[in-house]
Amino acid sequence: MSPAAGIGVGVASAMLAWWLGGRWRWVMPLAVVAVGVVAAVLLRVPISPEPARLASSGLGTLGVTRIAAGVLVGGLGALALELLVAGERGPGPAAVAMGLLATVPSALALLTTGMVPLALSAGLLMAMIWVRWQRVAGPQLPIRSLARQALLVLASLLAAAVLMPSARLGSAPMVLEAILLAGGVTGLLGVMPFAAWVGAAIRVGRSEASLWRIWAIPVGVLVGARLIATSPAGVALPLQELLLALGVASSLFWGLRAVLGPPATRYSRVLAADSGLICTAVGLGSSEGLTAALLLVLAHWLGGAVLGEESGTRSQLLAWIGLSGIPPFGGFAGRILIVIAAAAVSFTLVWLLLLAMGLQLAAAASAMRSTLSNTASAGPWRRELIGLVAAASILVLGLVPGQAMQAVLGLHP
Amino acid sequence: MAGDDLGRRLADGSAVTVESALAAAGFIAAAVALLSVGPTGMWISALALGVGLGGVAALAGGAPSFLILGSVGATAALLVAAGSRVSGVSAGRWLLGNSPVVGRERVFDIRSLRLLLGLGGLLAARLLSGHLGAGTVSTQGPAFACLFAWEVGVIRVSTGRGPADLALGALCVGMGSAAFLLLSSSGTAVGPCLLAAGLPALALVVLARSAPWETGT
Repeated sequence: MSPAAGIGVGVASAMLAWWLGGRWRWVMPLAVVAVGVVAAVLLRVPISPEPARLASSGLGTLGVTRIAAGVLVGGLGALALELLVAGERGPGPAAVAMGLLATVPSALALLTTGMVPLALSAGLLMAMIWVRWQRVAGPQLPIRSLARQALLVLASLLAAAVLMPSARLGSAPMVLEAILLAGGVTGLLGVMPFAAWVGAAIRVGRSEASLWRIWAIPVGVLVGARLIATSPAGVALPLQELLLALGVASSLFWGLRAVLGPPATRYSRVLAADSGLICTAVGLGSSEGLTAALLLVLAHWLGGAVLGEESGTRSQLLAWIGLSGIPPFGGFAGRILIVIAAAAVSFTLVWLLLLAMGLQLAAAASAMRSTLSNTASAGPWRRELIGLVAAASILVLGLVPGQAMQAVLGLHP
Repeated sequence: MAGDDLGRRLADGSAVTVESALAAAGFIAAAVALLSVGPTGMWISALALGVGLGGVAALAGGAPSFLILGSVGATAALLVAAGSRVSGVSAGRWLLGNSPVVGRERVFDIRSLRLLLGLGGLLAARLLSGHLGAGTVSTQGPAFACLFAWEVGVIRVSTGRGPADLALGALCVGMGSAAFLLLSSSGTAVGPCLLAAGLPALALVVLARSAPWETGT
């Protein structure tokens, strides 16, 4: 697209936004900028099949993989879905603006080949989420913990980036490097012991919390997978072991909290348990694990938008069924792929994962029951229809996971 | 012959002395950042970190390396100090909203707590610094200062009583990392170091005057 065409689209969208009024005056120009930046990057930078090795000594360059491009476009799509199904109490203009602005650090973290810019982009993404949540909910204890978590992510990844160029690392700092990398990745995914985001998300409200689901978790998945793929074995193996241990512990912990928690907090906790499973999948270090992690991300992109709404609607019921782990929906496909990938590593791990999935199923069943008793309060038909289509897409995701993953992320499971 | 040998030994001795002095200055800068409190402590810490860790970085990259960190620290210190003289304007309040302050009594006052944690950090930095290699520089002393600054950052984040404390913690982490990166790359990694030190410095300038979350000892 030529610059003149870009300027033309920008002016037309500004005029359209002015004519539409309301929140569109904010949302439309920002959306055009975000989509334009992503499109410009994707069109200009050649797409490579494998992630580039991270350069620790310089700023690096921009390198796009098909998966990273898919996550960027998919994140913008998830944001659009969030807007389309939003009710009266859905995300306001500032929250939407924050979702669009978060595209910038997410894109930088996904595309840069420099380890220091990656660490700073991840830290910036977390800082943006914290600033927004602090603005909405004030300096409550979970929000403060989130701020600390954001900075510890930055500190961990920055220290790991700095240690990387030392060619003369002994065996102890190799493990130290793995610990620092694991701290950064698990912090991004919101996995124990850094799971402050769940308490904070409950405070700020479900639609405000969608930033984590839409950007932080997918970025964490790709950053973690890339670190494992491009690190030397002395770093990658301890890193994988740490991610596996923290992921399993987190999925069990949050699965139990989801079963025991009140209905209003259930989705955040199920998402936290799933981020534990995603962490485990990334820690497996195989292409099956990465596919499974991204399949779960895709399922939450589709189902999370309707579950972020307040009223108990039919679309919510369908979304809960899709995410519960009942075959043949997307939630089941993602989780069973993790189990298959884990079977090659350890059967103890398989049993622990099955236990975590059982807890999530119980939590989803409880959520379905409370939604069923509340389905009278259906919203406007347009929102409900879009919500139903999105929730039904989770079924399609489970029936044809291979084709869906190939279409969205270019993966061949 | 004997004179040449003596001269070389004297030169080596002087290099070791300069290295030790600069590493000690880096350590002192991190200690200042560990124990500083209040709005004045913010700009003093930024200046001390810039100058102290700039000196450590200068061991590998010379004056340009010193200038990178020194100028970031001095600029941040100047802006924070100047900002405290202008009343009524606070970027932190605009960004984060008005924060209600909560009174909280601790078993140890905040400086004692940081001091205790800092002693643990000192030991860890001493143990780890011998394992690190950074370019051509003998790293025991300089790496110790960088590691200690990084640990001070984590301590300030963990014990922080408001956004300003967190920003100063991030600056310690960024400065420590940038100094070690300059040591490792012999002063060539200018871009990443400017980013690593500059972004937290910007956060400190913005958040230095934001309301704390808690008061008390």
